[in-house]
Amino acid sequence: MLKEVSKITVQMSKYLYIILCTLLASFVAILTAQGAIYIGLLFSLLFVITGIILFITKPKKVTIITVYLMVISVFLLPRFSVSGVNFRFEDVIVVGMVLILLTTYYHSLFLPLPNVWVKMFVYTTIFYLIYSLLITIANVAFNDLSIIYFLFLLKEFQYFIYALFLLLVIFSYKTEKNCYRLSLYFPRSLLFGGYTK
Amino acid sequence: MFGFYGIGTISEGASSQSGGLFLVISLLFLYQSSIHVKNKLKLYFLFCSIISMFLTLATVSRTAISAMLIVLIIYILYKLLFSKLNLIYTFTSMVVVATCSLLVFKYFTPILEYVERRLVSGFDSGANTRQNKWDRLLSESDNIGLVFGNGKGFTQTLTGGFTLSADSQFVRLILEVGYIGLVLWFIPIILLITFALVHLKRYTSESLSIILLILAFLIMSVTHEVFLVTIQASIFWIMISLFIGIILNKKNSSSNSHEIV
Repeated sequence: MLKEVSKITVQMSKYLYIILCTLLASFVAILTAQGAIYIGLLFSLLFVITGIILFITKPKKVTIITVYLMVISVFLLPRFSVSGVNFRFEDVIVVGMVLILLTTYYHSLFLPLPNVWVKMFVYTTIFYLIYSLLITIANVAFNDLSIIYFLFLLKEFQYFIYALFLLLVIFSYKTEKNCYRLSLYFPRSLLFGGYTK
Repeated sequence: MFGFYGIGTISEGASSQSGGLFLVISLLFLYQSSIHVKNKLKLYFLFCSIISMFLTLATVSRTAISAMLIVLIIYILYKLLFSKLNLIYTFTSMVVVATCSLLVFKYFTPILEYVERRLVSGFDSGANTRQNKWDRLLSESDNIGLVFGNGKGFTQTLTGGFTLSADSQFVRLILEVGYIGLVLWFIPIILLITFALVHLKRYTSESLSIILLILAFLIMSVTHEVFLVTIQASIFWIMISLFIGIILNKKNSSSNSHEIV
């Protein structure tokens, strides 16, 4: 009996992180969408701190959960506006993704990508992004291009981080089943009215 | 009731955005239809795909509809020429498609007439308006800017605000990163297509989905900045990574029975 209970508890704890994080993410999104930006930002901060603490203790789990949260956020959570600029919850998550990618050497979180075409795709994209960064810096410095437009460059970096992170997680942790399920359920919900702007 | 720009709350406010979104969802359902073994599930996802295609049509986005037609023709041709046909599925799916088409023609004639008017007679005026806009935007940059680029966000200094209104991904790229940047931007896309072509024979569903997604996005890129719009671009990269990941994992798997469904 006790074994059974402990088994169920272990199984539940597997999903507890996802449920907690999703709840927290939903809070942030709903509050900020309702105009309570400061409370939303507070929750974002809380979310980031929780994420960092969890990452220190369970880096692999947090890495996988980050991807699930990103997909959930893209499909289901609404955008919010801060000083006239629109943000989405995945903009917070992408910061976490970058931090995880930066710490991967210490935790050896990901396996190296095996395919030559995929490697070339990653390297050429990085090359393009570096070129964009340099040309933007040059124009900000010499042609009076406003620094706020760096946001457009960050957007491209963000999509690249999505692609790279998801690819690494699917390849390293064989999570294609769950990612496939996410990709299965959310378009269906979107088709039948689950998506909000 | 179907709105002018799509389906109200479940779509973006502009026709091209919701059109692009529904097109991606249609392709995703087509992929799901192709990977399932059971005919019942295959037909269910085919039906979902048809609904999504009809919603694409209802958005009246000319680019999304053109992309959808081209992508569909390629998909059907590939299936007819290179795939082993499942006779029961093929026959039943033809019945499903024919029934859906008949129902659509019977109950949604005004929308179809409107789509036809917009596609046929509105095509020239739409193309001319956009051509003039692109010429005007490109003329704002000097030659050095056109070759090396004027920096990310330069287009916004011409159009104002943060809304993406260059109405072409390619024009935006030429203005912001120049012809050099445009070539650099194309190289990863070509590499992705090459990756898909290399694996097309063995991992047909995933590879074909990668090719069709990229093709659809490149067509839509002609008239709007589809690689920058949050939802479309995010879904595009999520799906591309998912398909590549599935192919890599299938390749790495020691047994041939590694299936994701």
